[in-house]
Amino acid sequence: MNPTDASPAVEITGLNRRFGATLALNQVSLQVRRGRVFGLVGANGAGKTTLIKHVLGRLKAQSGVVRVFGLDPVADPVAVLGRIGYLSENRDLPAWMRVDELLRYTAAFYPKWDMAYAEELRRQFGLAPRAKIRTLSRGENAKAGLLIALAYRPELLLLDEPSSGLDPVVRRDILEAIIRTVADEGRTVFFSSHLLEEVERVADDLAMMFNGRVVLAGALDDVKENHHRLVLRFDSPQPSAPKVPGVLSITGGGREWTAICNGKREEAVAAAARAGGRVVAEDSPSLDEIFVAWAGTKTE
Amino acid sequence: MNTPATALAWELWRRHRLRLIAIVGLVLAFALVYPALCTLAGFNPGSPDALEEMVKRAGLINNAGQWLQQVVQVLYLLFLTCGPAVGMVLTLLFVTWMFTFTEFDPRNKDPMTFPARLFTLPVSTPFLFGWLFLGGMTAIIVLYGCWVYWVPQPHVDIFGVYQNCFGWMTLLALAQGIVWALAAWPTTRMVLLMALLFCFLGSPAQRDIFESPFVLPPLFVLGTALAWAGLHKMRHGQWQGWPWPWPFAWWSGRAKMRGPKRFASPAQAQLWFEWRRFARRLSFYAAGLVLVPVAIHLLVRFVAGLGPMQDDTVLGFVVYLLFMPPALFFCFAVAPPQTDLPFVMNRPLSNGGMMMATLKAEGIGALFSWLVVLAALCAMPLLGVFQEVDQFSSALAQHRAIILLGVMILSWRLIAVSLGFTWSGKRWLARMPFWLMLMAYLGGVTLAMLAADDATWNSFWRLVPGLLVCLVVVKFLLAFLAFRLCLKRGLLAPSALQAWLAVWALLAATLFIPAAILFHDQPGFLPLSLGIILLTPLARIGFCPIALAWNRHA
Repeated sequence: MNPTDASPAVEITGLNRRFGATLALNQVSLQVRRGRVFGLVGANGAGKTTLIKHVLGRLKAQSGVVRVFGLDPVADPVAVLGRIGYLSENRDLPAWMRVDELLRYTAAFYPKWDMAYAEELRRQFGLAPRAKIRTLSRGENAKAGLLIALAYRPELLLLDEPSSGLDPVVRRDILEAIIRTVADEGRTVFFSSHLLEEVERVADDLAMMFNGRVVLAGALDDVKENHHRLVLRFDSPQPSAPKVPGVLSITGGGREWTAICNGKREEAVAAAARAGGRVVAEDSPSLDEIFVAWAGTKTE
Repeated sequence: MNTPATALAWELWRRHRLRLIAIVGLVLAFALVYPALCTLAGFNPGSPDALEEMVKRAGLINNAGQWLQQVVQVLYLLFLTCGPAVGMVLTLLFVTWMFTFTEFDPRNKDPMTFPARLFTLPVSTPFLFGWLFLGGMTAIIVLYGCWVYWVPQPHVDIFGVYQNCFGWMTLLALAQGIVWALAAWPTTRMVLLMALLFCFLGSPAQRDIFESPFVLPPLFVLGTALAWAGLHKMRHGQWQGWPWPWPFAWWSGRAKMRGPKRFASPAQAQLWFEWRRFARRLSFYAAGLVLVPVAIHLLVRFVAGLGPMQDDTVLGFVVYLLFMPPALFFCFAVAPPQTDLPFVMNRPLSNGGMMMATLKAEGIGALFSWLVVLAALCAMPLLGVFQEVDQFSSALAQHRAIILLGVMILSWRLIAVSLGFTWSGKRWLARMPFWLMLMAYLGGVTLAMLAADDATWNSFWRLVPGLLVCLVVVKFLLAFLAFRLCLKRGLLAPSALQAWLAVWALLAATLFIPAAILFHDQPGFLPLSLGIILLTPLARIGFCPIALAWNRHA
């Protein structure tokens, strides 16, 4: 792999997916650049897993194009899957296998499998080699899945809700450390999560999905830079949320309201002034607040 | 759904409605159609010894007609003799399972897990127990009554013991007791359930169990008490399983993972995976179902000093042994374990590679199963009088090799040809093997009706070669299209296709060469040869990678 290669690790253009009457993905386009950590966030049912399944080739694009390292994952699954380390949301490991058997079996498919690294990870995760998968706890199951996804040093690490089932300590100490290590080695990580503080800590880029659409995508720093939290004060108490153009969400009551807005700060301030309010405080919103603000616009 | 009782009844109905409808359909079919079929075949189920009558009729047929005509007739008469009893036993067993209220648990992959969610409902344990216990007993009584009073049951001595309602109620109580009390010990639970079924349905002590007034009542009370205690303990997390000290646990516990040997290739790893996932279990089930009854009978014969077994019992036992692998393989073909498919589909392995590994693993499983059956057959003379089986076997002496090869390949084929359906990921397609088998069965019934009249049969027989030729042409055409598509879409490597075609030719030759040696001068040789070509799977194997691609890239 050449980390300086300009072509993206994952490139999705105009992807649509329908399950019966439900439009699961609606004109989704995004790029995951090589050597970056890409976080995909969205509410439950937003289409994150559906999108990841398209990247894996488990779902065929009904319209649109999906390319992984320039390859079609449906037409050439062996070549694509050989470069991806995948952790499933469902942790669907064979229950009858032992941990050492799982490693031995998985190693056969990857010429670059690093047994020493696998062993190091196994110890780090505290997995007994002879433990059956069915006897592992949910967290241990996630660790076993992560282990086999990592041990061949894949070019693209694809994690579907990796934190699910992991306790906070494990999440911080292992998962985030691994994601950073993988990225530092010049490899790419594409992960979905609804834990926004986690995404905020590890992601370089992010995309936010609602109802099958990507509503926001870009570098995390840019996203945070383009959103503002403004505390507005009005001369008289407002009986309902004031209408301020360009504002994603507005909460509060009486004379003081807090608005989350997207775009240039000056435009938001001007819009607030036109609505009769003045900015008394402002700062950068957290990703959590940005997400909730966007969620509000999508559910109204 | 105003009450918890109604809600539970609704859940039971919702989970099993298709099966319950099938049971009602089966009972109605037997009640309405079976008497007419008996009349049509000139078979009197009310005769004091229906089995003897069947044997006589089969003997009459054996004197004339073609071999296929005779086989079809014998199978048809077997159905008429055993059909109601087999139907009754199967449906009562289903109701017994239904009222253990267990379901498949995807977390533990345990097929018989009592749903813990019931314990979070505001209902007492006595209510849960009472509902399931009394509901089950009522269902058993009603179903038993329907079978006994609506369906004419032929007078066959060996089936007489099943006509004991209290015996079935005891079986339900014991099954509930074992399943609920041993919820934390799945392996022990399965072993005890198998032992229970064997004791009730086929053991040498079966008649004693059903007929003795001192055996069933205590067993009923024991089952009830165990079921009550089991449900109560399960609700409060008592009676937990304990980790068995595995042999060499000290070694495995301390051992580091010393770089386990790597598989030579992905194909070898996948073969191991398929063997462990599927074929090994199938082989073990076959071995258990074949060897355990033989071992028990040997113990009864040589330790307890009872016996020897009677001639017709030995014959029945031999038939059981010969039918066991195909029956088991058919069950797996209809309901294969699919829990690991998503995991496998995320491996960098081609569809053809997955298919070849599965076919190989199943082949090994079939071979192993039949080796066990052959070993069991070798032990049969120790059990008792073997004269009738010997005569039967001598009559088929020339054909033994081809019959054996045929049933071995047939067992494997049952799963091989169903792969495409089950791998498609579509439920309606996955059930296709069952419907195909039902259609084959109905075809068999139609053939049996044709076989009753020599003139009609001969007219039909003249059409057979032409029909078979058409089917062979269609088969090759479909196979060509399927394999071409596989190659075009890269689902199957050309080397894998060549390997499969070589295996196909080998399998066909394995059946064809002995058939040619034995039957080359017989009038039925051409249909037999075409039948061999039709039975050796080709087109449906070609569609397997396509079906898998359909599922893999939905």
